[in-house]
Amino acid sequence: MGFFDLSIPYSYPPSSGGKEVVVGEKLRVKLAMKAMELGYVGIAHNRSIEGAMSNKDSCTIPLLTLGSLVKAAPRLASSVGFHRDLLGVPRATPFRQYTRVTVNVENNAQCQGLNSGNQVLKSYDIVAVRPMNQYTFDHACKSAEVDIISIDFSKMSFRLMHPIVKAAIKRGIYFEIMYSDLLKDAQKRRQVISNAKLLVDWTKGKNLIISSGAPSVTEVKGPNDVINLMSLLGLSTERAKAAISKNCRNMIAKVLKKKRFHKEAVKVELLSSSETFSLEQPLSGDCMKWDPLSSGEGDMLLADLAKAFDATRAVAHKSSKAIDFTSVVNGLPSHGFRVKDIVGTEPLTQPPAAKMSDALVHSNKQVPEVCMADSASCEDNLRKIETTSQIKMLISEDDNKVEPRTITPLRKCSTTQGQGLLVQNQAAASFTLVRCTKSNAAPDVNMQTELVSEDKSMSPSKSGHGVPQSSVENLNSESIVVDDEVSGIPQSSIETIVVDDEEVSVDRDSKGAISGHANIEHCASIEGADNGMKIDDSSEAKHDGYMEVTMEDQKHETGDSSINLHKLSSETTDLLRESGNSLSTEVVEQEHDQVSRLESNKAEELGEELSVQHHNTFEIATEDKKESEAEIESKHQAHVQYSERNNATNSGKARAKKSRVRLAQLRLYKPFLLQYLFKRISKRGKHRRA
Amino acid sequence: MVGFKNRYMLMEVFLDPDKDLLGEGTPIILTQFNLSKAIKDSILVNFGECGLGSSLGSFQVKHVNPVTKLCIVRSSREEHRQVWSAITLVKSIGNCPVVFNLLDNSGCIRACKDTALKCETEKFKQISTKSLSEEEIREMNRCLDKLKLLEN
Repeated sequence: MGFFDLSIPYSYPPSSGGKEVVVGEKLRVKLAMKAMELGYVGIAHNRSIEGAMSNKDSCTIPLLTLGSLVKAAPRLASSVGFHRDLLGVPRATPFRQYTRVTVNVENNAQCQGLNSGNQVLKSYDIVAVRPMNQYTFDHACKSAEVDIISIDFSKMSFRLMHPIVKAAIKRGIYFEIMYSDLLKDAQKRRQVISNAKLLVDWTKGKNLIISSGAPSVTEVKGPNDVINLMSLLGLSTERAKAAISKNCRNMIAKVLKKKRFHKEAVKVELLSSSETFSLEQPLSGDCMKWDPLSSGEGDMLLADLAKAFDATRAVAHKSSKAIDFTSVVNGLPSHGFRVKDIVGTEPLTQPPAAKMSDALVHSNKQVPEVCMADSASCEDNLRKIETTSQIKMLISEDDNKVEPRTITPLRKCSTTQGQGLLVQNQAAASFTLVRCTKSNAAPDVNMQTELVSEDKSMSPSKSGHGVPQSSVENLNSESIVVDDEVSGIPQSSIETIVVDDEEVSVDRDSKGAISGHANIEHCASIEGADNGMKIDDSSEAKHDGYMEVTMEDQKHETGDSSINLHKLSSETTDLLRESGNSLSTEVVEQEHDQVSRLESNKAEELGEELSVQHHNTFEIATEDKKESEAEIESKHQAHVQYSERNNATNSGKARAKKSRVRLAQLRLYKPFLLQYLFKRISKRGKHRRA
Repeated sequence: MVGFKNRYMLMEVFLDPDKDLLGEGTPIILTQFNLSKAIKDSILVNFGECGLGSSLGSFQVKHVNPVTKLCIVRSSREEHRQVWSAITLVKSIGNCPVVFNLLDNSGCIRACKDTALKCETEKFKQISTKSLSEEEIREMNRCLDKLKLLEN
């Protein structure tokens, strides 16, 4: 990351109505050399104008040429190299020059001149404005077409106001702090610090540029020193560093893009007629080597400098003419080329653009790798699934209430999972889902309290490829949290979390996605009716919606999830009914039937919205427990209720009642339950509010 | 673990950069004394008596090389940014305008010494393009020897 100093004075506005004071060529060379020596990789020659703009104000700034630097060449080259090494800037970075105009605006008329159609301003690379009063400052921030707002902090005649500064930042305008004011004398320093602190505070280092504005060589400081000096203004090291390097770079890239490109995207270049090209043959590499920072003429390479010096020594007398940099450059078609390419020196650097593309490629490469890793892990997990299911069985057996039928379907699941990765995942997910709905169904039977307590007792949450990460001992029983990595599915991770048991959460991937299904899952697993359900799930594996549901990021996307859940829950409830009819023993045969049936009947299944809502509420309630309840309260009143319920029942008193929830009951109440429940919930909500 | 920590700042000094850019001439001779005096004055001006008092405890100019114009300044870690700022704000030593430039900032004298040695040789190479007098070369060698023996 190179450092920039974007205001090397070229001319000052006339002090008392005279001609503008142009800084002597000698001083300018000195300043540029100093900046170069201290390790900066870019400078901007700043012309300050005042009053009405005319055509003679358009850019006439001659950029420095190698010829002017040649006198000090060998020492300069070695010194620059030395300082760049210390700063960590690659030696081969070209030294860039830009032109910049700073318009001092005092009144409305001058403000209006700062528009995008102004040809005078267009002739400069960078356009800055120096507002002199409140009105012009407001205008500059809000509507003027400028790149930089440069404020003279030593004699501020207006007040900074937060909303205006914010507006400017929003428009992508940069604020500039010139540190030469800081160095002048104690009086000015005091004012600058007090005024600039406010700006630094408000911008937080964003859209802030630090430049020297040095009237003499003594006031040019090294990048490190500048960064440290900014601590006086309350700017932290990192931000100060960004302000002197990254922000400048971004600004320049943006400005040049705006200036040189049609709609910031298309560039037209002249091609020599000798060059022929066809569609089959891609264009020469030059087009790809576009350098976002190059202003065209002003780039200087260290190597060129050294070369120039050698040349002068060889040709002795023709010194500055030996390599006339500008003439070489001027002979070339357009700005887009790098000097290096033309002069034909050894390939010192890869131009930044190429580097960036490299990086891009690199990052692209990484993605598939990750995928590979994922899939690999999946395969690993595949083997583990069996074990997890077995563990489940064990647990369920530990729990008194688990019937043999629950075990068989579990096995079923695992076998189906064995068939294929994707199917597996989905199956698993759906499995969990169904369980969720199951749990929902249970409350339908009016057994809510028992259910919740039951949930606590067992929570083998499972989906995708289960890697048993940790088994957690809870008050009532064990719960196994299985953390999944699903490879074949867009989101790379599912995190299942046992919610009902207070706060057992396994974070695998940093995504922070906590799948709600897991929470509800446990609830369902206990019921006797499980068997049918599970099989259904595996059969449902083909639905795309599943994974989304399972993987939804609960923290953020509760809204989205509701839709998916909606479908799923309705489907699953249907299945529930069926499963109610068919008991565990014939599970295998039913499975296939259900698959076919499910797919055909999808549309009709969507009908039951009640259950959906219920589902939602449940899920969110569990979520509530874990994280912030406040967040979700606004969405559904009912959720809160549920969570409360859960909390209340968490004490574990209801465990004995588990056995009450049976399929038979479920089936019995089915027609009424959903409605009933809904009513009940809403009633409670009202009650609570009151 | 050491309770009290220092920072060693390796600075280079540009004497009168306006006149001779790369420090060809030597209008004044840098010494530990005039350097530390200039820095202390700057601290006093910019941070007041309290600032000076708090930084004075461990402030010291450890090493000065008048030939290559490198110096090492020690300061306590808490105050080092203050001291550094003050050094940046030094405008002149005596009548000679100066610019300080930080080359390296390290937490122990050994690391600082290593970098300093590297920088010394580098700088010496740079200035040795013009002919150096016997005197200067002797001075340089003396400084290098001193630097090698530098401790805390």
